[in-house]
Amino acid sequence: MKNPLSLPSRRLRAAFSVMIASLLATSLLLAGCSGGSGGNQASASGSATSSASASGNTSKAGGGEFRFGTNAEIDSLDPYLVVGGDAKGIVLFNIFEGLLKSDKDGNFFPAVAESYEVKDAGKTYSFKLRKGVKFHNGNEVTPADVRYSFDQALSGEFAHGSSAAFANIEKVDVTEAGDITITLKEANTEFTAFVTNAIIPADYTEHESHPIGTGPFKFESYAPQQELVLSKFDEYWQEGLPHLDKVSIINHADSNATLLSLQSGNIDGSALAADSITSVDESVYNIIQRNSNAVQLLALNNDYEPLKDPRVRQALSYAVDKKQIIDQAFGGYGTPVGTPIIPGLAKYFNASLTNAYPADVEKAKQLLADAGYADGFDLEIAVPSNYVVHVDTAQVIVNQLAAIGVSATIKQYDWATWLEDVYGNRNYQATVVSVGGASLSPGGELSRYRSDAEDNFFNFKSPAFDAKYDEAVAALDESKKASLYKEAQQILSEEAASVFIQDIAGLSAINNHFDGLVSYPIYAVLDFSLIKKVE
Amino acid sequence: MRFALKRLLTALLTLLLVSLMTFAAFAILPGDPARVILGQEASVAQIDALRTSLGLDRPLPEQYVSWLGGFLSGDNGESIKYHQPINEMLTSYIPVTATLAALAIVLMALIAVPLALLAARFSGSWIDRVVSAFSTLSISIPGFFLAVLLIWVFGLGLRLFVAGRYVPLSDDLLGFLGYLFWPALAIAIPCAGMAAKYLRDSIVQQLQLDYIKTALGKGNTAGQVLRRHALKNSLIPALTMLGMIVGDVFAGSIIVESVFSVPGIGRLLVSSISYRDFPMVEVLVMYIACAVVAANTLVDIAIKLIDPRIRLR
Repeated sequence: MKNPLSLPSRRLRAAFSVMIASLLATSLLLAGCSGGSGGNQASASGSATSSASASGNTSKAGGGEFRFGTNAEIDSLDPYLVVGGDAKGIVLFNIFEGLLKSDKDGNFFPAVAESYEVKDAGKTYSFKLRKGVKFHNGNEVTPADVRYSFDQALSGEFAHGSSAAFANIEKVDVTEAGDITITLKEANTEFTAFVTNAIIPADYTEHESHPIGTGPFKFESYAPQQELVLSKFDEYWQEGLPHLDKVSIINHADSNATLLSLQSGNIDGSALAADSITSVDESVYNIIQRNSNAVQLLALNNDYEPLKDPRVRQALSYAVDKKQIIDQAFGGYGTPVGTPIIPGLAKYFNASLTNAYPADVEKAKQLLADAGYADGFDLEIAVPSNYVVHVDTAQVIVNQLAAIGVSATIKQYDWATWLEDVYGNRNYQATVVSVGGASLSPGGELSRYRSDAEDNFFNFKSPAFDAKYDEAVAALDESKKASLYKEAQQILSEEAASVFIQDIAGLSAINNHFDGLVSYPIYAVLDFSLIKKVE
Repeated sequence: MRFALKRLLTALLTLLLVSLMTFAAFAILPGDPARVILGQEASVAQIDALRTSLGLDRPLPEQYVSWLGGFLSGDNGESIKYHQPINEMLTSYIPVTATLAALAIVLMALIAVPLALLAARFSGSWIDRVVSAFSTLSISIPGFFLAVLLIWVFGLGLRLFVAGRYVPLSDDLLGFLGYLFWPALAIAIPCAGMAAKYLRDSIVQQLQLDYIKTALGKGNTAGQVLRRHALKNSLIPALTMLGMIVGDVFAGSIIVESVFSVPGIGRLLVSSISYRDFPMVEVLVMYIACAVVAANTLVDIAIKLIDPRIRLR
């Protein structure tokens, strides 16, 4: 088949070269623009210099800008509507503050309150309003604002971490002089952990578009799926804080996009998956290991026929090798646990249970045989597919269970379906997920194991545990309370309510021009007020 | 005129079907928005209260009719996820994806047309084979990988742009276009591969026909024949394909926007689906469907104008 146009055409060639030239010109022009607008990136020689120059642009006052990358979306800026764990950690800790606030060791100190007192053996809590605390709009916090804030918290229309505890409030009295008294229906000495609900200006309802609180940073701008910009609140009541002038929280679609953004020097810090550590330039970024403050577990549906027998659940506990999971799926980072209480709650965490079930295939097989499952059984592990770490963990577990003759399979769910089918309807056999960490109260972490709890998605039933739990909640003496909680955890462990695996390590990369990213024993809290520039 | 009206009617019917199917998909799909919004801490009572306030407890036909009524009157309601009016939000999202799509189509044409002409001109030679290899390669590379590859080579390696540093249109027009150039390229390359292949085949086919020989015999130069005779006749299949490529460009933007951290409607669509933000998803799907249907309808009408012999019913 010969081409009929055998003679080369000068015109055609000319037209062709014009097209190629224009394509090249467009690409160079556009590439030039993007390089220029990105802070002279085109001429930067390495990520160190580029990110330093990017964040150094605004450092006239010394504080500078910190750009933090995240793939968690902020679902709301209203402190009483925000639900996402990561969003809460950013919004509630930096823009807002409660009467009390947690420090990095999990102790509560007065913030918008000046002082507080626990009376009547944990039935009455009284607070004195701090003088001169200002909202970001310049107004001083008045007792009326406190009244309004508690009305919001008590309205019960929407869920927030404190809703269960707040249902126990009988009344909140606020006097003109700034004395706040909270009376509970039943005594609860752990209630301080919940008086961190945001204090907001009375009758102000525009938080979604422009939140106003008393926190160290004030709101500048928010563009969903782009960035949330916060700036230093000059009239913050704590002297010398915050250090930074500006914080930009940059949103990415997923952890891959976040990693690329970090590698390019677009951001100064971000969370990091364990398998990405080697992809980050060590001479530019420090890797910080914190706890994620939620317990990863292989949740067992105690109503699934084989799992009704505690011996089977114990067998699974012996079969699951926590160390192997941490090594294979988490690059060796992680804190093994044997209870639903996070290690961060050191006073209540029962460390002796961590090795209650050392990896032991023979013992597991024996227990299965005793329970009448010598030939094993089928187990479907439901995993929310958006959590890669849980999917990876499930894969390791499938192999570990195969060793004792249990043939496990993985079924992946998207998050919405998982929440409804697995968590809500309890329509599952086993699932890998992280639970807990919303508050600093051990009662809050353990309450879901009560037989009648609405969120007891394990279908775990133990009258012994219920009794011990009630006793612990009611206990007034702090050390007595701690030991009762430890005994309650002991019961969960002996009954093997589920297979408790670990507190997943929260790894972060932070540019070595910054310091002060500290770990809180609450899930996903990011306190930007302590971060500062170092040279 | 009658033909255009018929086309318009078909287009409207298609859109109605799309909206019904999206609605049905959401009705079948498990996952309750109220539960996703409230998270693991919520009580059953709170979830039920929110379902009522979102109107999710109404019968399905009623939900659909109320949504359709809102859509037709231009009121799309509030996003479940962001608690903001959808129309207001989309004013910042749509221009981003529209620009990205336009840039991608321009780049696609700039790559595909010269390659097709070159391959057709030297069909059977090594040039033709190189172009054909490029086409096959660019079609078979997964969009996600191509996007990451561009970031690695031009972002991290050559440092021509900063990965993830999207520049809003309101800040700087050139910076905005400059950043979007790269994701547009990632969308354009696979489309260009396909377009080049189609166009080249189409031109080569035309060149075999008798009228070309006649035109050459009349003393026209090869270039004149290619431009005046062959190219115009080759455009018809290529135009049909352009209509389909508009769909591909939107499909590509869904992945590419995520990788490049571009806040467009493709990325918004993905996150809205996983959040079960039904009002948002329905509106986004309708807008994308409108764009694709409009492009195809225009293409059909254009073909009719170029070649009156074609009878489209």
